Amino acid sequence: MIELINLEKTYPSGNGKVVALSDVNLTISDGDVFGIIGLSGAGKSTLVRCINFLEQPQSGKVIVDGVDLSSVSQKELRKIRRNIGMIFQSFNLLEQRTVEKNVLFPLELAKIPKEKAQKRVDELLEIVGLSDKKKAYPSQLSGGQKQRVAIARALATYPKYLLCDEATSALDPNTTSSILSLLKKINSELGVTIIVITHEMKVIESVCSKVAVIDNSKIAEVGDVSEVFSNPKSEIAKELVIPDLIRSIKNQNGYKFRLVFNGESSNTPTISALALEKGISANIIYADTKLIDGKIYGHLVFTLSGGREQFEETKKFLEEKGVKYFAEAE
Amino acid sequence: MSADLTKLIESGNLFIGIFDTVWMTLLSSLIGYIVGLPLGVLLYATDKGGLKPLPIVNKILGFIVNIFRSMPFIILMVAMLPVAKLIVGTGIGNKAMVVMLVIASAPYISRMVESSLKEIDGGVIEAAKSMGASDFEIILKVLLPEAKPSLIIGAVISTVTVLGYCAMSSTIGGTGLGQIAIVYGHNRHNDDIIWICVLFILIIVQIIQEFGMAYAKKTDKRIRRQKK
Ligand SMILES: Nc1ncnc2c1ncn2[C@@H]1O[C@H](COP(=O)(O)OP(=O)(O)OP(=O)(O)O)[C@@H](O)[C@H]1O
Ligand SMILES: [Mg+2]
Repeated sequence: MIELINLEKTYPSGNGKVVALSDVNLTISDGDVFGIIGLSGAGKSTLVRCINFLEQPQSGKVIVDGVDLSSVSQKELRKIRRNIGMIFQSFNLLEQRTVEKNVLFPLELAKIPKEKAQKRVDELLEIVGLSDKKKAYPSQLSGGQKQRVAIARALATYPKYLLCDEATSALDPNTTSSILSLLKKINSELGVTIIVITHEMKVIESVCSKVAVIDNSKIAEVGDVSEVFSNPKSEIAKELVIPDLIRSIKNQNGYKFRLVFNGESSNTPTISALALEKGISANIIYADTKLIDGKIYGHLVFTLSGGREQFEETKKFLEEKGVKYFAEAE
Repeated sequence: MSADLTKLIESGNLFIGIFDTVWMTLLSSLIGYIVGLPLGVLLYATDKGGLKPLPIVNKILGFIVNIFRSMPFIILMVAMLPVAKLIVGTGIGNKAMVVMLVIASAPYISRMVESSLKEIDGGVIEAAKSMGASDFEIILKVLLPEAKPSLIIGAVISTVTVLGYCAMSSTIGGTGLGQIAIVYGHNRHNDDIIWICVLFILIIVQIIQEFGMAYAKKTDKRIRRQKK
């Protein structure tokens, strides 16, 4: 378990200072895939770098498996870091080493005997699907392949935790999803607790079970992804979850509905049922839904052309159907 | 061809001169690196944002290095004669010249090394730290290997600079091509001897350049190569 207690971090800047983290409290349980989302400059990288003490907070505590990182010696800290792997947006591979030697690097640091280390390297390259690139140099790899090497390297010393700072931000959508499914696999098959830093809600949605939303150096909201996703409470979470939605709602007058689909069975096409059963036609102004395993996820916003009566009727209809919705009339 | 040149060639003195220039240059560069490389690492590591920022140590080191770097070699040489005497027991001859060349080149080399290390992306160092590397391990296993191509290019430039210093050292008694050019060429008005010396210096520089650069390129894995 990782506990962050009252973290404060400021950087000197010119004659003043920049607050990067203030009053940050988080608990990350073992086995979670924990997302931390926020806009650029919100303090995400600072936060994740505090977890392995690459950055030391001015006050507050970072407690990893019961050990307060500020209380241990440099030597012990280095040992603890071997239990916390980390991957980066820019991969940070050793350019002058082959793929194989990159993965070997942390094992060299941990002074693992050669033979055993080599076996581990082969095993890791198998896991990330790069066994055929052993002897290649990073310059000969694609971004996605580089990140796979970085993941293999980060996992070499059997860490319990894996920190990912914008690990997919430099990758195209297809590569992103392949890296994300690899992370999922690492979580479920190897039991590694993963902390995912990102500015994209899509990344959170597709891999995380819990999410913390950070805004302006503070944690604005924490919760289960499904909860934050379907019912964001803080302004910043709303903006991140439903950026287009907010705008489209603001530009529409009249009776508005936002439906939230959070894994309901999709064989009840709500909108067409509304038209067929009640004769009410909805003007869809925003839809971001997707089908996963026959279940529907996402948002749908529509307005009604009718009056108050239709509004009430639609509400009743949605309640009957058990659809989660937010209604607004003006 | 002047009579002096014929004599130089026949007596083999020209080749001894070439040999002297080459060994003094290589030996001085080597010792220069033995001193300059750790000094460069220290300059890099103690700088702000380095592995172990120590502003005072960094300022002092930087100041000393700058003094030696800003002094014209010809003046530094005369000023350092007593130091050479202290180290090798004599202020004249090639042994003393090597001391002088090292004193002049080590600070220069340390700056070359420092700037090579500065090219390394901070992210790589951060990654190494996240894997539990100590500062020492970062220097040995990350910084120096990653900077290798750049360090080699730096070594080529440094060696060529030392070669220049070496030729200048003949003004206070060093032997080699510089001495031949001055004593037999300039002082006795034998232009052909001067040009012969220029030619050989040029050849030596070219050899160092070509081999050094080719090696730097060969060792740099950042360059994408077509598979043969
Ligand atoms: N080393 C530093 N020195 C000074 N200020 C810094 C430093 N690192 C971060 N900051 C400042 O702290 C704040 C938070 O930065 P941080 O890198 O944590 O943001 P982020 O959420 O990761 O942003 P991004 O999405 O752009 O990576 C920013 O205002 C940034 O300018
Ligand atoms: Mg960041």
